[in-house]
Amino acid sequence: MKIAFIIILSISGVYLFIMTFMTIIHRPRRSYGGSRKSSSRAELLYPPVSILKPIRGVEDDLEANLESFYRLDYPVYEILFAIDDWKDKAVEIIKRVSENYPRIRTSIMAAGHHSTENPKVHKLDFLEKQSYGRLLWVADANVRVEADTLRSLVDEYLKNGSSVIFSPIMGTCSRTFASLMENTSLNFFTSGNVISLWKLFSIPVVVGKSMLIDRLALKTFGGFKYFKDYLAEDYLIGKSFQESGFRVSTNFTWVSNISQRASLKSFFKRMARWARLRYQLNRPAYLSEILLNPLVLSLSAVVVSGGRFWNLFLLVAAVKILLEYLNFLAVNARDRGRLVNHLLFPLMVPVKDVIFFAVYLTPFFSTSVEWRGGRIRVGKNSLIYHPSRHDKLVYEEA
Amino acid sequence: MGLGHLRAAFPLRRLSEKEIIVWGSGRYAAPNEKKYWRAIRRTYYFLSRVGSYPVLGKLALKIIMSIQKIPPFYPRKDLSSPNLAVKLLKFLIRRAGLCRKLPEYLPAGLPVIHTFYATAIALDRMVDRGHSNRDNYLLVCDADINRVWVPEKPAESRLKYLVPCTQVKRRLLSYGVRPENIYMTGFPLPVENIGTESGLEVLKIDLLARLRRLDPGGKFFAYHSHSVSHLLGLKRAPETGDSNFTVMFAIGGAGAQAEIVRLILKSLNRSIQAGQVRLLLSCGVQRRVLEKTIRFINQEGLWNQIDRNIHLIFSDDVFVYFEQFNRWLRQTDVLWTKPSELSFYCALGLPILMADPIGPQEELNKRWLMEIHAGLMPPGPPEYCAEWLADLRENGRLAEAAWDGFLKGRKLGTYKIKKLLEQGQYSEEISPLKQ
Repeated sequence: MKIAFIIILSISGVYLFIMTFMTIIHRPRRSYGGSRKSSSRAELLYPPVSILKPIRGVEDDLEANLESFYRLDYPVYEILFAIDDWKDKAVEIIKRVSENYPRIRTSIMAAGHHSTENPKVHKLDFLEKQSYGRLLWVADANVRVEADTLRSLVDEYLKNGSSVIFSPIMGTCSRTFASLMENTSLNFFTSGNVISLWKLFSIPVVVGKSMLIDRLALKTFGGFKYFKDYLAEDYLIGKSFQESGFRVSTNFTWVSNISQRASLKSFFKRMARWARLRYQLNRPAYLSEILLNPLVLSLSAVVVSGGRFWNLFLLVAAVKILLEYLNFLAVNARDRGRLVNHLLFPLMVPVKDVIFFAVYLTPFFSTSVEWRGGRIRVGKNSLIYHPSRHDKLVYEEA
Repeated sequence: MGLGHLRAAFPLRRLSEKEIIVWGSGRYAAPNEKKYWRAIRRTYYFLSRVGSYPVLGKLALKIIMSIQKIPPFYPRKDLSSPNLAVKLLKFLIRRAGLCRKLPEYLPAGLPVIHTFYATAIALDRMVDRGHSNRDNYLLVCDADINRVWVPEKPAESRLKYLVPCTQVKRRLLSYGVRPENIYMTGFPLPVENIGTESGLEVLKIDLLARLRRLDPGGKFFAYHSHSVSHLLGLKRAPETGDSNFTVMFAIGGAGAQAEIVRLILKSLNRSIQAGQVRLLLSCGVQRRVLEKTIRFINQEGLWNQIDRNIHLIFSDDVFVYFEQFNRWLRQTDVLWTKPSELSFYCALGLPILMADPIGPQEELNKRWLMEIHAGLMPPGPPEYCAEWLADLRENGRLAEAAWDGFLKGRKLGTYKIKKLLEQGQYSEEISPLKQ
């Protein structure tokens, strides 16, 4: 028993160490060193980009997030917003920000809501048809970027001819305990895996918060609507493009995800939704995720052994907190400037990991997820179940 | 139920009071019945897919073959005693309650057309037991069929058969079906590819354009220009025409032919780039097949030809896919497919280039296509198709096959079935323009 636990914890430890190391190596930079404006001829190399922003409601610090997209250092781009309806409070903010940047073409569209489709993809499909850029950059409302982020992403497109370019996500601007948990989990767990799986196995983990997509390659599938029946559209975009022979890559251009005032409830809900989707996408991979939670593993060793492994548990907890703290120092520049975050950190990590374990169990009891105002039942590959789509379901499983 | 059974039902959708019922899908069938259908479907698709792999794949294919085996027709004999498949189906209907809930979904008193035997036979049993007195039709989707398409006691059955060709009629008689229950309507083809029943306007326009594209050297027209003018109602003899032509390759519902796409693309690469050949790849409804096809296109560096000289026919909604397929069929000059239910599409004046058949019924579809000269076996391997397609076209063989399919294939199945349902009668004709 003891040996088994030590082997499992060793595997876990090695991976987490590599993950932390990789993340530190590829941590966010102040500047990505994208090709600078050298001449007007060089500028012409950069294709027009359409930034597609599906919006629902007012996210934390939305105005500043939007403003960062208007300050991009890039020759030609437009920004298109899709909302459910004109009553959305975000409209006012979008208008206010866009009026300050009249040179950048802005379109706001009410795309409505489709009950049987992925609401985000429904909006993206709508925006795609109205956009003109050679490249489409999908960026969520709570994403904030640096002035050279787009240039850096397009550099990857120009250099390698990639059809999808994905990014690690920096969760930041924590103002509550739950926000600190959410942002730390994004930086350590999500982005750590995005970077490590790509570096070690060339597996793209595309996170929908930022995806730069070649419009012509997307057209091959018939556009965004190809993914409309699936909730994990980001993962499937990466998978479908890669399996179809298109290059999917990252040059580790980070984008920021602003989470200031998350509550424990919202944190749990979001994590539980993602967990259920990952479970439906790849069950063996999901089951092995427990290895990324050595704190709970060692705690269970304590429980199973009747308290014999307390020393092991304390050691594991200390190492885990240290690794996450190193990640915090390397990645989250904005949050490390607040003393309170440093003070809360040793307590936050164990609490987060216990919540993570509870989240981990949720897919075994439910296949429904709560998202954008409704409950959606999902099946294999995150397929959205709806009784009217009987024929599709028949062939999906074949 | 595979894609073929749904394709057969699709042209009849406008006759329906409700809609096409896909029995065993999410909305239709009791929950405990769905698992049977799901298991059957998955097994079929799996075995079809692995059929191309050595040893185990071949073994799996043999299992499919043995279940679907169709006994030799000659010497003629009484084949009415039930085989193992009939007994198995009877067991599933009786014990597992297969299709028990079907009548609940059917409007009262209206006739039903089935394109799959299981629901038809299950309903036939209920009709026998006085549960309903509706007309119960079974539309046959192949040029020959297994005994499982007929109930255990065919002489006592009230099940009526809509058959696509003479061989099926003969076969049904040998299985013991009463002659008055067999209607030689032909396979239902999409009316949007035909035009009106009396005029065949769409079909004639498309066929003439196709024949001109398929006969650049004029060899076919040297023999047949008078009969083409006569039957297509032309005032003067047709001239040979365009140098470009369009090939459609239909990847089966299970995706079994996806690998051939790679070889075809390799061979036709230059012709596609030069715009001499347009390739339509019918990927069906499975994302896996579409993505694999796109990968092959990428590997051949032909990505920039998508939506130019390469078109992908795909929708994850099966009925949208059929609509797209039928639309593209109008521009198709050669239909390269395994001899499935698509064999009957030769009646639209499409030469059928036959990929390897899967299963005994497809073997017999192939034989039927060869008999009426509407189907051609590829004279060489697919990796050299650019060479042999050019030869077949140059010597007029493809145009001949198109013409023979038009002459001998039954085109008006959809109209005849409609008339049969509405008026209780229909006419069997010999004229190529009326059958």
